[in-house]
Amino acid sequence: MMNFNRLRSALARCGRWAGLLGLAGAALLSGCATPANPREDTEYQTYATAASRPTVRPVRSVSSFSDSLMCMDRMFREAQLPTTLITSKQIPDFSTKVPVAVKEMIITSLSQMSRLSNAFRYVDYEVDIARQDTVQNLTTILLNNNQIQLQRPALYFSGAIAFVDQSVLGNRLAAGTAASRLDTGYSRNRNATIIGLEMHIGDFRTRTLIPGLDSANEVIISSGGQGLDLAGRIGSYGVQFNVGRDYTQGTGAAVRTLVELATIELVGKWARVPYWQCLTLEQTHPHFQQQLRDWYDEGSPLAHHQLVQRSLMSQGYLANNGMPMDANHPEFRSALTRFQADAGMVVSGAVDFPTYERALRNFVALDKDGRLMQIGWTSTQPLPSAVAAATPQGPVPAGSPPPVAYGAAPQVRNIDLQIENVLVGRTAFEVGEQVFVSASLSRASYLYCFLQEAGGAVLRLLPNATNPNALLSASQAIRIPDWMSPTPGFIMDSTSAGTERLGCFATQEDVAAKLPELLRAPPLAPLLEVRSLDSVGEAFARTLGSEGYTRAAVEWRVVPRRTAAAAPVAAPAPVASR
Amino acid sequence: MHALSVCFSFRQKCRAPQGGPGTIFFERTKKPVMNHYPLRHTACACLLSLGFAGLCLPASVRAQNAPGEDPVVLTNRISVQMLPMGGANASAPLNAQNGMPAWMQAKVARFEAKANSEQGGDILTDSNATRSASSDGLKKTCIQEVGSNTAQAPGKFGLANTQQIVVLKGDLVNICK
Repeated sequence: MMNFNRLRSALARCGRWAGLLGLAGAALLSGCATPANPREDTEYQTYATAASRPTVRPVRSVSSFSDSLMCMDRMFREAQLPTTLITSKQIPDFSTKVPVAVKEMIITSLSQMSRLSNAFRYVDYEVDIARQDTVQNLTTILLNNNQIQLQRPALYFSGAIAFVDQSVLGNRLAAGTAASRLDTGYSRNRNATIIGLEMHIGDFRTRTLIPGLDSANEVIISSGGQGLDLAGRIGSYGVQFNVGRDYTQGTGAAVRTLVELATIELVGKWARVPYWQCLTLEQTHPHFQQQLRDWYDEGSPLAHHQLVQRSLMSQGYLANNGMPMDANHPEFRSALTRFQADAGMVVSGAVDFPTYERALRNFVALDKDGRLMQIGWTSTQPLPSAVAAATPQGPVPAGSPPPVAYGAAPQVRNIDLQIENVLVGRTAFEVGEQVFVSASLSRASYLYCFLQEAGGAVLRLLPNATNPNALLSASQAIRIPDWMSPTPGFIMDSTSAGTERLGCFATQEDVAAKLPELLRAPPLAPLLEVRSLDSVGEAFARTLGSEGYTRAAVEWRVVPRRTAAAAPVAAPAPVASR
Repeated sequence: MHALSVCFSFRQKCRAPQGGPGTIFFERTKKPVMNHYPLRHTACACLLSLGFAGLCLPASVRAQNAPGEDPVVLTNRISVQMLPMGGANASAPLNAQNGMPAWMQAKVARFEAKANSEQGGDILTDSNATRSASSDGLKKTCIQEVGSNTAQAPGKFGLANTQQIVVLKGDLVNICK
């Protein structure tokens, strides 16, 4: 009886196993026989579009010398440096360890030093038969038909990533313990690597490197890490724990720092401007960004918003009417986007860390111990701690905007007008000669420009049919006419002898509807019943009040065209008047 | 002041180049006034700027170069070397992390400590090295293995499924005589 029961139990177990195996086999066969149905995953798949997007906003790539580049740009504008054609050789990497587009970084640096000053214009002409693309093919076609105008550079950059000394310094520490119930291990390492960049400026006409125009700099990048490994038993359970944290400073940011420093040094020496004043800014402190990030982390989102708002008020972007604005207030967002555009940032309309850093970076200085400190504000308190006048400790670079204190009254808007022609040995234009003017704003504004001809007729130049938008950013000079645009819309040349004046008016808001006789009339045509720039100014003053707009003007003399034997004309130099 | 609407007709007044395809001509129209500064005022009768090339100008207007222009005019045949000259050596990313990552090194440190303790467990050391020698005529082969997973367990297929932690406390020398 016992054996029979055991046999029956064994048969039952076998039956169950056979059933399970049968089911598994059937499932396997059905799975292999029928294709997967992607429609069953439709709901899951719909998340892919959103999941594939980056979750962090892109930011502008900056280095410790990005503010120095802007400083150089202002310095060049102040010095009225004529536009110079420049190009660069390829910058090879002899170390073969730094795959970085150095030449493109040079172009970016030169461009950033030319936003307001138009100091450098890069000649981009590459011939590489192995890499034919649309631009190269079209260049060849147009050159053969004389339909492209090559420009001859005056200067060129030469250089190389000269060396990489890897792991010049390296420290390692590792320790472990073992016991009956707990094993531990700890490790730490750090090392330092040096990257060196050599750059020079050459005279293109002679293909010689100009003596003294050299820049050889090194930068250190480092890496390090810590790791902890724990293993043990708690009762009958085994536990394993491993953590690590590492940092590696990239070669891209390091080389950008070197390239920007080298371009500042080289073109500063070449142009004979006091470039060193731009290298001593507080913002060039290597810890500047990280220190601002620490202060940012100390404050709450509300504090960030209020700090940025007050900074915008101090810089004139936002009216201080005593009313707090939330982050989505249209007036605040409009001011914030103008500020971001002027600061050369990626315009987001949000108070994120890059905005916080840009808004408050002018209110930071070095204390007597060389540490960065806040001037007139704290990380958590948006109210000004002390309305101290921002008095820079070092020399003020030429063309720098007037120092402003956090919480102080807003800056007055400024328009800077310059004649871009190089009048070598002359002080006046001749009839028929083209005139090129540039305007720069201290902050984004609506800009309206008028020309008073020698005969007295007044025309509106900007806005016009080609450039209908009057709202312009302060991050770039406005060329009048835009001689670098394929469609400049107009040219300015003098038709009769006398004095011509160009005047520009800047406002916070669009005033086209308030001044229809001036701003709605056809552009580039004489304005009826407007006899001078002064009458344009009076119209602005009547409509907006004397504080409601900013005005600047520049004038030049036009003399009859010289004959070949005529003596040079002596006349006053073009002057800017306000 | 000439206020011109945009005109797209191209009025070519410059001399056309002589030469066939692949020929590039360079000639300056006038010596520069300043060494490093572009020409501002040349007597060329055409608008040399590509940007201004689309503008129809009255004949009375004397064209000048815009700021930042120093055009080259092609008049003579110049052969431009357009052969591929071999690119620069490609750079590889710098491996700043020299050696083992810290988190892995910590694990190694733990095993090393454990191997040196009385709780060695399954950690193999040099004392677990197995040595074997075989000779085939004049040829002798010596093998020294520690923690090898190539030896199959009896009755099992595939590699041995044992923990592969080996800590060598010193040199592992095998003199094959």
